[in-house]
Amino acid sequence: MKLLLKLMLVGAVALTIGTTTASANATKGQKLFVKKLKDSCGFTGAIMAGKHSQDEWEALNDDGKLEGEILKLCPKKGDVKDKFLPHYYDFFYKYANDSGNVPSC
Amino acid sequence: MKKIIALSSIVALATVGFASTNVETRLDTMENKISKLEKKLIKANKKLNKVKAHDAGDNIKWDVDFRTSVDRLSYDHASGKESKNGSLMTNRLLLGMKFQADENVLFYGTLGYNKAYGDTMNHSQSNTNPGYANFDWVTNENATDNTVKVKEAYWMYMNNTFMGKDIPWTASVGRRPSTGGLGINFREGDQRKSALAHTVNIEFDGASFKWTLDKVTPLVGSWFKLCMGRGLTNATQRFQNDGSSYANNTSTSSHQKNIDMKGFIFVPYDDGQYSIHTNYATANDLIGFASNGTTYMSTSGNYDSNYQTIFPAFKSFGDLELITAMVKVDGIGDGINDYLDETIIFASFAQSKTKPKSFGAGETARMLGSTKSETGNSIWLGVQMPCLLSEDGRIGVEWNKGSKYWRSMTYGEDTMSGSKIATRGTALEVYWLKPLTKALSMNVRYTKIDYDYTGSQAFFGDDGTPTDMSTITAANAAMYGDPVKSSTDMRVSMRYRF
Repeated sequence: MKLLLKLMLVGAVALTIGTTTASANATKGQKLFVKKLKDSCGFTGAIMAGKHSQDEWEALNDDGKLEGEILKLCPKKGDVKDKFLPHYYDFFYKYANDSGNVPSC
Repeated sequence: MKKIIALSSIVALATVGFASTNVETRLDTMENKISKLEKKLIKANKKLNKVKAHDAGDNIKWDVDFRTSVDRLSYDHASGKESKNGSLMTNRLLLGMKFQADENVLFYGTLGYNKAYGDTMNHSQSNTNPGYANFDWVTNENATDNTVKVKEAYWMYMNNTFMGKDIPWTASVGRRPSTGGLGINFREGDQRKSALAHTVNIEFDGASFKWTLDKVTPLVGSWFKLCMGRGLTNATQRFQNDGSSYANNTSTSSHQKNIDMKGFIFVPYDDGQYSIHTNYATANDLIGFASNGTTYMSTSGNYDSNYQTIFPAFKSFGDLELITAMVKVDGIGDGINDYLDETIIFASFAQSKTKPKSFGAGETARMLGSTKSETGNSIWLGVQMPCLLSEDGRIGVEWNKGSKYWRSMTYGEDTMSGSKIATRGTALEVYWLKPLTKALSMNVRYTKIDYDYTGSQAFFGDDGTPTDMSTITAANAAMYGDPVKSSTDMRVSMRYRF
């Protein structure tokens, strides 16, 4: 049965090589929010995400206005790094006020 | 001819004039219609958003966490004997539920299923007769049968002010998320659950009350949480012959007291990158097995070889105090480079202290095989960083060491070879986490445990007696139940989460 473990390991490595993941994700965005924005915003990530509907967050992202919106809602924040924006967007979109998703406690 | 041409020209010009007027009128009409349609569309969108929001909040949100694992287990006994399993295959299904009834109240739940592949050799998939795989603290963490059980179910009330002060607070009651807490979550790539996993990692029914203090104190990101719960209810079963259903069970052959646990978690600082986490907990009347007057325990105070067939009754041996202090750094430096930004390190120190009690007339007060109050210590260090060999992959190394009388309540730890955190000795772990798609991920983990003393994975009675492994040889191993001196667990797992 060692063969089974080896086969699974080989399969896993093959999958690792053969697959790619989307670069942005909501969990990372949530973590980044706590780390980089929460203090400046003065409220939780759930409240931030709930400021807009999914369509509104999508429009802000598509129009390149996400950074401006973050700075508007969190005026104490000086700037937002571009590389974090896709993660923030995924997080805000996932927990938008019409998403029905419930953030972790 | 000239007349005809002139007339035709007049008619043509008149027609153009009329047509031009007609086009303008039609354009105006169309503009009006478009404007009306735009207004209708905006209205419809607003209505759609409202319906969407209502619909989204009108049902329980489910999430799926399904994991298939193969564990290669190997145990070296004191006698030189080796126990192993080249491929222990298990499926674990966790169905998460969330619902926000209103702005202030949430419901969370998790249904769990955890089973080894196929039927088991003794035709008892649940491994519970004999055995304790379905013990309430660990019932969803062990491979049992194919039933779905409740792992978590609790409501949470939230409010942004407490007695008029700017103190956000929560209150929660139910089967709380007390497994997979801070520390042990990293190797699974999970978000932390409530507890600090260095001392508590078991399922528990209870309550918690949390106050966020950072707006009323200078302590950045600070919060305080009171936790309490009942780990064992001492009551008779329903339909007693004398009608005393659910009364306290006073039978001398069974456990006689409730087990209650209470404590707090205090985070004095958390800026999202650097954080300090502390925890104090105390549990009373903890259970274990007595060595005297029975055949399932050897005279040395360790499990005898026939323990598994006797299915002994628990006795209550005393109380336990636990403390933890943990420092976590989530990202080293600030923007030095992506690698350091994505690196997590943590260091945790924990201590346990017993308070032995007598469990019956004529029985000396003792706990973990000692009549004295014994203190145990444990150190746990860990680092998790991006794996340079694969995009989005992460690798981690963890090390922990426990002393002679170290006793944690980590029976629910998700390690097939036993809780590494409970080790009276040294445990080393290396893992690799790799997301494959948005939903599918892979985990390869190697855990090695070297025991310095016996009883690491036992309960709180004589079964938890720490005998120095160096005194147990091949010649006398049987007297001590031939305990495991070291173990390894190599796991490969695939996990679907969405």
